[in-house]
Amino acid sequence: MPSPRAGLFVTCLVDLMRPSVGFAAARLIEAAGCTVVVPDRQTCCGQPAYNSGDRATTKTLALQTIRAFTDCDYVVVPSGSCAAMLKVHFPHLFASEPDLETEARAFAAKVHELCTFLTNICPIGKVPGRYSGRVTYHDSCSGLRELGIKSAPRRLLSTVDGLQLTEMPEAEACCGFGGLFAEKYANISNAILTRKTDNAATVDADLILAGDLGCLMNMAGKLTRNGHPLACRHVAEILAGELTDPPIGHATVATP
Amino acid sequence: MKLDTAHFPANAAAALANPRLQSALAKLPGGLVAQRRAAVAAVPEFEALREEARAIRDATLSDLANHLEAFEAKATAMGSHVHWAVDAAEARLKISDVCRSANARLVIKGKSMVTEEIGLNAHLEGNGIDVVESDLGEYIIQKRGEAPSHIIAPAIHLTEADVEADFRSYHTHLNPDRTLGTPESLVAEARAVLRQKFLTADVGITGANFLISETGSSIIVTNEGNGDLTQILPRVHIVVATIDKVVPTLDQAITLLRVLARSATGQDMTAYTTIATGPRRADDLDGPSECHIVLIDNGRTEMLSSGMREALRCIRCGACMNHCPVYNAIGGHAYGWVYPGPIGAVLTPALLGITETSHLPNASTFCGSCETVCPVKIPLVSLMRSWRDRAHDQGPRTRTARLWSGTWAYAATRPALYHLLARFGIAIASAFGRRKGHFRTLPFPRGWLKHRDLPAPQGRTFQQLWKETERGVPR
Amino acid sequence: MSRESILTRIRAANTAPAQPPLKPHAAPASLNSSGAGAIGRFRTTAVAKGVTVVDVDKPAALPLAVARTLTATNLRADTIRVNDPKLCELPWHDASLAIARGAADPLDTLTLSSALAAVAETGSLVLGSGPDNPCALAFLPETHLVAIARSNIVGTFEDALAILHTRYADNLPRAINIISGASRTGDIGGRIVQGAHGPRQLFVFII
Repeated sequence: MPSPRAGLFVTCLVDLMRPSVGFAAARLIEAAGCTVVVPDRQTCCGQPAYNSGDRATTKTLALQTIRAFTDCDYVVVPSGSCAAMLKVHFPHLFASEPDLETEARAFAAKVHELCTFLTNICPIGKVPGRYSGRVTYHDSCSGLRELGIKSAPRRLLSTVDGLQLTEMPEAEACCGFGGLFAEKYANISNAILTRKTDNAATVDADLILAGDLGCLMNMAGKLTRNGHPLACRHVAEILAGELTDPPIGHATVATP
Repeated sequence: MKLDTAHFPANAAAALANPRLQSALAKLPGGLVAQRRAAVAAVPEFEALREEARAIRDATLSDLANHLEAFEAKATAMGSHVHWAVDAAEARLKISDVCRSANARLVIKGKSMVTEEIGLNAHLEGNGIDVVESDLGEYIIQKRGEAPSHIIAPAIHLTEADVEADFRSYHTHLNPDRTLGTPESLVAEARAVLRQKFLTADVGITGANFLISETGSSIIVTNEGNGDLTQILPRVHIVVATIDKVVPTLDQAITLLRVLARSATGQDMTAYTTIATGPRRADDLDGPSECHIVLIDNGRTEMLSSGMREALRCIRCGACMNHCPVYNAIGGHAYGWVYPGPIGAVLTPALLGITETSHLPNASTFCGSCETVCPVKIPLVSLMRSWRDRAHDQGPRTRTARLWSGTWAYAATRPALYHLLARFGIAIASAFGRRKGHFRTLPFPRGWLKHRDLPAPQGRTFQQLWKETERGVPR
Repeated sequence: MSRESILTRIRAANTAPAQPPLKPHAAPASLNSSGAGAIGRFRTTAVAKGVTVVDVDKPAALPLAVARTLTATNLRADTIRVNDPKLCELPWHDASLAIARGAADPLDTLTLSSALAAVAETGSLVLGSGPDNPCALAFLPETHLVAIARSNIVGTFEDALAILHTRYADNLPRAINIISGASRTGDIGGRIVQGAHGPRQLFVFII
């Protein structure tokens, strides 16, 4: 039986800012027994437009994305937020266009966030990554509340040799990112973010992990600004053992 | 109440810089939030109760006109006078007419958000009637000339020391050397002062948590008992409620009560839940001689047909604001109108129009915490997003914003162009930022960089690297 | 007219057919109890709200139980305001207590009402207003005493509604007061203080 074709929806942030997360995700999906393909007709899930009220652009991007992955058995996304956009919100966009809605629903059924995919859809068992250190995990909002991602990343992390996970207070609280919110309402965002990083700093950990690069860039930016040693990485990097690049926002020479 | 939503950013900045407010808000997570968590954990069926509550609200709204008519018929049969008002102005007039025919000089009030919404106090005072709020939190802010900053804890933004200073300046008839250092002594003083008001008031005005069609009753819940003294002691009782408050049966009200207090304060029931039906009976020894019920539309019928129907499920527990990171950061006043937090961000544009209120639905991270705690499952994020859609259709506010979003949309919907631009853009950005790993100063994004660094890109795009390395063998 | 205008607009907005009436629900199992279980649970939930619960063998023993309870809690045994004939006829004099009949007076410090039902799920008392139990009795004094027959302690609010229905059919008295603990407020500094506008203390006597 040929291995299933898993299309990697890279997400715009990973594509632009941190390709190492994309390679980590690809390695994990392959380890789970799939063939990874990366359609180049993908750009962004459309969330910035969707959450700014630009329905027309959102729908164009949704159709572009849906059709980029027609030959895939699965669409795997290393972000809870983008996965929720594809899985939960795409079908709503076409509520008044039955044909497109059917297409969006069929697409949504194939979409899985990376950690959920590796635990529930194509179970990977033990992951290739090794990490001797203490980490804490931030549950990003969309993944947690729209897709119910809570135990999957933790189950996967429990198979990483040497890794010790300590939960931070209010792990489920928002980090204050919210896409354009962080720019438009910068000082409110900062207040929420400060609370988040303060909470993370109370636990004995050297790394914050999360499944969404947006939250991670937000937290990492605060921590480097404050000169705090706590670093941030995408959970896929740890699971795949993809640690060649320094943590998010850190200089190349630094090697935590 | 005066609308001040246009200055939301400035109001929020002031709130963030107010240490007193921040210390008051810091109590929320360990207070109302923790109490709700414990109360919900104690009832394993809570999710089913939420679903039941949602179904009750939806079914009622789907047949609202008949339920209202049934309520009116039964309430009238039980001796109440039912009045209808299409908007705030009519509601104010109907209420002041009742007060005038009662020769009212002093009105005592129970806590009611709708009376804040319609600006009742100022109207009555303008008609020469004294108005005293009896809910302790409302009394405190009324004296300060402030609006409530939370729908169930109106003075949540104030500390004990604030209240002590206020009481010393208002209650000048009391001994200036009295001890007032504890919440207990402050409560005792307010009790004594307000007791006199209860005993001399001519009219008592309360809101209603629910109106029950089958019995013609209004239900109010309080912890202080002020709502009861307000309706028992004065000669005339006026219930002010919007039309969405109706519930067909007492049996259904039980379900709503079961989720209301648990969601609001983490109590299983508030201290006093009162089902009031009509005026005093012939053989009663106490209670009001007249009972008036003013049913107000003020935008609700519009909400039924404008895609905002789900917001009418709201039972005003305040859980959405308690759990909102934005509300926790800035408190209620920054929202600039009666209803703060996520429900305010949905309700305020619905009642006042989106043009001046567009900051409210935009100032959200869409974290969704509000939806997970809402006892009637209002899809607050979707409704806020729907307001963003409508605000967008009226045109983005600034030219810069339009240029940015237009350019981005043009490129993102053309993948080949997008990937080409991305390669160049990222190569340039990483050339500048790679050494330190982040940017500290840039011409943009200014808001972001004011508070945090911007992590630098790794150097090349994933799409570029994936193509170069064929099948993903890393660089 | 405003009434017609509002109803017309609602009907215009409600284009979909009305949803069918909802089936009566059952109380959640975790909140349900009955018989002796309900009595035990009521005691627990009421005490958790700061209510003092006292057991009394028979109605005639109530005055003495009240006297003892007041002494034990250092409350002055002032005149008790009570108007329920069945309670008024009890031997108060034997317990060296005086009662006054009528509606509550602002100067009353102690009042006594009888409850129609007590609800175990939340430790709540259900009082119906009327000439026997004027409802200000429950709100004006510093200390409120409530008598409840053991047989009227029920598990859930659904059970309590059944009692109301039996007694009043579709015409409720002016007020049904569901009382769950003493008056309190959290409006000053977020700390709970008892005795905001109503009673500071609530005593329940199960007869």
